Amino acid sequence: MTFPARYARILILLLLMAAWEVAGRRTSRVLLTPLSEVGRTLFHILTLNALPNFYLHVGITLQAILTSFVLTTLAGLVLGFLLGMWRRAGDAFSPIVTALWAVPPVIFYPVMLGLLGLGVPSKVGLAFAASFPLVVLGTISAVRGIDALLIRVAEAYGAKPQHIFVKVIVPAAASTLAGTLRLAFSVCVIMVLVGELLAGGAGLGHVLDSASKFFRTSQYLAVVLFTLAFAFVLNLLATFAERRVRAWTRQ
Amino acid sequence: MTPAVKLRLGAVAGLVLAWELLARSGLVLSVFLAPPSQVVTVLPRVLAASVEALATTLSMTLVVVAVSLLVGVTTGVLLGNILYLYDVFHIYLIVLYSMPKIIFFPLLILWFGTGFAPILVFSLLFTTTPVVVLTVGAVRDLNPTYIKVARAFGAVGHQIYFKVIFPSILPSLINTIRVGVVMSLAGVLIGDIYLDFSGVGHLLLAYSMALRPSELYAVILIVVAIVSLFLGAITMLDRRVTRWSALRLAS
Repeated sequence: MTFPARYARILILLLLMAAWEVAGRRTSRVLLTPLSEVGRTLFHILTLNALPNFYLHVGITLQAILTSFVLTTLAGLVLGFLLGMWRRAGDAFSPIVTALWAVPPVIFYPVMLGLLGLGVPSKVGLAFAASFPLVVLGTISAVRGIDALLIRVAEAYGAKPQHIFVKVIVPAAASTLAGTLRLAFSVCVIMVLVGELLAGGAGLGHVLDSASKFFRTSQYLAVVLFTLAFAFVLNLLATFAERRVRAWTRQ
Repeated sequence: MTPAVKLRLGAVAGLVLAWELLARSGLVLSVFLAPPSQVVTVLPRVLAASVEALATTLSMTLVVVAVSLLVGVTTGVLLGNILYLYDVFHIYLIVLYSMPKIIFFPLLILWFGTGFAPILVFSLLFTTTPVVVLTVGAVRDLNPTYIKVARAFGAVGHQIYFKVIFPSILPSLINTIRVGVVMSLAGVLIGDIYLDFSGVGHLLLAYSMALRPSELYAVILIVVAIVSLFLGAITMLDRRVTRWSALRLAS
């Protein structure tokens, strides 16, 4: 084991890329196209020479992701704080939310397509259905995980309930909540793409779906690479935001 | 009946009542939302009609659960225990974990056709990654003293894996199984809906396109019931395992 792990990592990546290139040159162009060609296609797409509305589709996907994240955060936090602080309601409803978490959200997708149509709202609905139980359960456990002593001390010093909420409960739960919301965000990203691939006429998922259905494999693979980078950047931003919140709570 | 159970039943009853009232109020078009009283009346008929689809979906799910746990836990234990492998592959694991895997589904169709094969491969990809990540985490959280002591007493490779590592990660493995079941069912359903194959996903699509909401919601209820059964069984297993490992620790 004298070969440094650092080089092994890079070597594996290079081998994978080489394997892709060789396999792409040897098989049918429908199954795989070489990496070099995919790179060229990606350049054409990014300079709007291949898909004229490409950035419009990116914008639509981004809009669906952000809308669903904002909605799930607002609704999830409100319900989570309610169920977390009001113990009897929490005992009554949290098993239902847990059961909902385990149900694959895609089974509601046909219903949502009917109710909300083929556009952005049905993707928002799907991402919401997948991430909402997560946020609620995370918030409940964050609120219940707060040291009861903190609240007792605040009460002993004569703090009013609304002050306790703002000055004690929210900061004490914020660190755990940041992790929960970060997870919910990546669920939103995934489920919006799932929704777009399954149905609808716009967004990155739709571009992928139609490119592959017309056997434009090179275009499909180029958009796959773009989508991976897109999701990676979004997750990076989310991680950065989570760190900021955690740093803030430590003060 | 304990007060907690009464409270939970009351919560469920309240939600069902709200659903019934919403469906009857006419606020939502009746082709999209059926009242529970109607759903219950069609339930036996739908159940009889969906036996084949349920068998297809459940058998695929069980195959995915079995294979992904076997492959994922083995890989996870090796990656978690052998530092060099962890150093080399950790970054790839993170990238694979945060990737929206759905975007590879069209490629899998090009490679494996439109039958059950791409659905199985997709669901395996979808499930195995989180299983590996969770197992790696569990192994790395293990107290290193255990392994040191076992080595000091002359334990060799396979003894360390089967007598130290495996029993110690067993409690967290239960949670991994839970995630595995939920993810694999979701993966199979996503694939089924995408391809309109012959499982429960196909059934959902068929009923929603025929605008038969009662039947559609009946299928959803059946899936929810099956998921609850699975999770109930895992919780029972959890209790057993906890008792077993507590006994082992005590003796």
